[in-house]
Amino acid sequence: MHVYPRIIPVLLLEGERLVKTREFADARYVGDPVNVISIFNDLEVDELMILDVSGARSRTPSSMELLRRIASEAFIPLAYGGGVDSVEHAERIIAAGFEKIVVNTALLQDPAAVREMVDALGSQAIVGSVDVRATASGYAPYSEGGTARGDLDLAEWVQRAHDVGVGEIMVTAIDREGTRTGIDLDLVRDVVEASSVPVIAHGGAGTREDLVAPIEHSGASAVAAGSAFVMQAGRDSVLINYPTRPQIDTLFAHLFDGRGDMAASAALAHDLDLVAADAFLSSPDVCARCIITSDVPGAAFDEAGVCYYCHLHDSLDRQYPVGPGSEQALDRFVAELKAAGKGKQYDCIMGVSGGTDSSYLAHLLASKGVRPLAVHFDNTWNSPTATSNIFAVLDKLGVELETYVVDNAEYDDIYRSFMLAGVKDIEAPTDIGFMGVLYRAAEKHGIRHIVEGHSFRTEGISPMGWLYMDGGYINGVHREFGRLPMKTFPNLDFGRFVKWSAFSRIQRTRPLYWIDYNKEDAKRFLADEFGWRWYGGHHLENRFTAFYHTYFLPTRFGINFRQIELSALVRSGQMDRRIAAGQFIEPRVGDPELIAMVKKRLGFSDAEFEHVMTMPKKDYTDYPTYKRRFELLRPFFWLMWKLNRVPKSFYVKFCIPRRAA
Amino acid sequence: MSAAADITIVDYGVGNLGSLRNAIAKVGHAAEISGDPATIAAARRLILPGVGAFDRAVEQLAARRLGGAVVEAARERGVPLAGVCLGMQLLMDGSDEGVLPGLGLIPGRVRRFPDAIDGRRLLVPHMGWSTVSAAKPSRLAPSLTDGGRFYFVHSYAVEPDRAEDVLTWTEYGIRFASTIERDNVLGIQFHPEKSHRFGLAILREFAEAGS
Repeated sequence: MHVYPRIIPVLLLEGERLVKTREFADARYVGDPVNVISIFNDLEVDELMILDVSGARSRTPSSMELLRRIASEAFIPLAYGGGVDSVEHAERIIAAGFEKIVVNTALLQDPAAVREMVDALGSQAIVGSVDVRATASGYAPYSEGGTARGDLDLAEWVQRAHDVGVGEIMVTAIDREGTRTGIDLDLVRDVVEASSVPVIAHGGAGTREDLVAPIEHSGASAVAAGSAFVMQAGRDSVLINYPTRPQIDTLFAHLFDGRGDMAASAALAHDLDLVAADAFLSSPDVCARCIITSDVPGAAFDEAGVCYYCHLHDSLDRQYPVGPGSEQALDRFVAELKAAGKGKQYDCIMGVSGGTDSSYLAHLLASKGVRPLAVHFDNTWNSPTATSNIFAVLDKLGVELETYVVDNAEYDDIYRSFMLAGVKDIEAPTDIGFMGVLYRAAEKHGIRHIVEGHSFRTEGISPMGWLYMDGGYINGVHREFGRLPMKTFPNLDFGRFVKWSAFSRIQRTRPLYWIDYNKEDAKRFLADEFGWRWYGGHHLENRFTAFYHTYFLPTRFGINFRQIELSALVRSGQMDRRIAAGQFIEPRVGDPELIAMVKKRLGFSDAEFEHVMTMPKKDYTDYPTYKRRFELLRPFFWLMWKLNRVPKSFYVKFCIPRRAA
Repeated sequence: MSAAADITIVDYGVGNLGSLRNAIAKVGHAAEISGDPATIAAARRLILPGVGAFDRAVEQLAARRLGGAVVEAARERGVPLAGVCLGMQLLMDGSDEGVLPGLGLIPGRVRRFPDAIDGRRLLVPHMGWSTVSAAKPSRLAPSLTDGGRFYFVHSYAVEPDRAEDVLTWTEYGIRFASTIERDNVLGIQFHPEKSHRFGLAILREFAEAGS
């Protein structure tokens, strides 16, 4: 006898947006349905349930199109509910790629219609759903989104569901929904005992342990939850997550024999072409120390053939030497953070992405007793690995998270604008948005310290001209090419930036500079300690970022940011120069799925996409930016740099006029 | 289009064919959906899908003159054929669920799950994720070995007359044949198109089988 208990994320759809409610009210925005569902698909969830809380929306052609798009991303069983009240309506949804229809109000108001659905589609395709409140006279079914007390009592409702022939029953405790106080086990048991079909328990699951009790103690066949899979506990921040197969096996091991699949996806070891690497390194156009080539802007080789970036590295290395003294410098900074946080809930704001550097920084600070508030800018393009990593690390460290989710349609419109603008800097909105969110969180919580998980030793220094960003640039490009108003994007406009950096005295610091930060060691440590997973490349934790680095920049501009990172690792002695060269020259193929996803979300036809990939190249100087203003205020920002309010890199990059290339 | 399609999915008005086609496209192959007997008789590979009642499916296949086309392609031309879910059950001689004969491509019958095992209630349908254990190696889908995890929804299971036709076993109350294979004919009880990478791997292998 072996069928695994199913663990089912429930997603609430409101128009084209995913939301999360609490006790059927207070809808909060969670993200882009297609991306969130594709994350759950990659996390290999048992089943996914999508409930339209705006009611009967799937009757419109556009929302049927959305359901088709959702289904085309999901190779997992899908259920849909929300105002389905006729067999024709149900058949259209099944034809869109869903397996099951969830019926709630229809079962109370028109059982004959549900009976027809069962006859036409089979009982396995129909889930009867009941929303229940605990009342003085016992459990009572409610209808119409939990607002109307039904005529039936719970036993009568279960009988009705059996009479019309549904294949499963889902029972939701309205009073628990979104509260994460645990599932009402008595309610579930009552329904299971009256039912001869599988029962799905829903409403109130908060922790992963909460998923076990309804199966173990109440006899449910499946457990469904919303908040537990889209929110981080603590601050109620959006964070898509789902237990891994080994974690599920562990949760249920005492109930079953714990047989799980051992299908660990072994990384394919492949041989680098070291002969080609040697040929590459022997060229005079390659830095004698790292793998920067003479075509990288600002490479400026000296007589010994060593590039400018190697010298910059050495000067930073002298400024932040690693050794006993650096440990003290870090401890002094930690003491400063703690002093600043006295009487407050948090000591500092820390940006997290799910990547190696920010994850390791979280550990570093927490291990020294710092209480950071983790802040994440969710641009709705996260990879499943990113969200799983954030969840794993913060959960174990007990660090609270605040997520800012930008409106997906608006954000895609900004991306689209940047692609139409013909410039390189299509990822500028993410960097600016992240910065904007960090400053906003600092202001909101009255915190003066922002820490960043950047290390020049492993990430290197971006060449000037490869990346430009500021809030004015975002506004300028969006004004010219955008189609939707900019409402939720947390832009970093000029006034705010000056206010926050100069007057609110919010200080940005990079604590990893003080430690002998080794990327491979950090990855191994994070994997062992937190079950953190490597996502296959620097910056690849976000899908659009991955598109930008692996396809857009190399294809359209011949730019490969890996050269910067690999060079940094070579300089800091973390990677052999031949291996770095081998990795750099290795041909890379853009992931066709990623490209298809970008086209689909940004609304580019094949021809339009071809056009934006080949159109004449533009530069940020072709658009309005704040650069000129920053240059005029150069003396002011020089002072800001000297007072440690802005990083030196900011001063150099934004306030010094760019030399003609 | 039929010349380009790696797989032709038989459309006889039963089941969710779009999901199968999406999944086959996901693994890099072209699938077409067709209800035309001539197209099906000439297909390179066939998938016979299906959900719902056995007799209704048999009637629909007959009414659209598709049953004969499927049998002809599989038996005369030796085209790889995969029956999925109810489509697997249709490969057999007949089913306890109905009175009409199946396609008879693999000898055996379809039986309902018992309602109770040793006095303990067995929930039917068998719905959810179960693993398979291999009875023999597969020619059409070599990744069907021990430990794969698949999504099942069914109240009936096939019982081949010959044990050597069983490809994998699965336990749900009883031990049943979760996949069967005989020469160029494969039967799959679970839904590969909804079974994560395990199911997608099978579809990929089938799309490349015999080529």
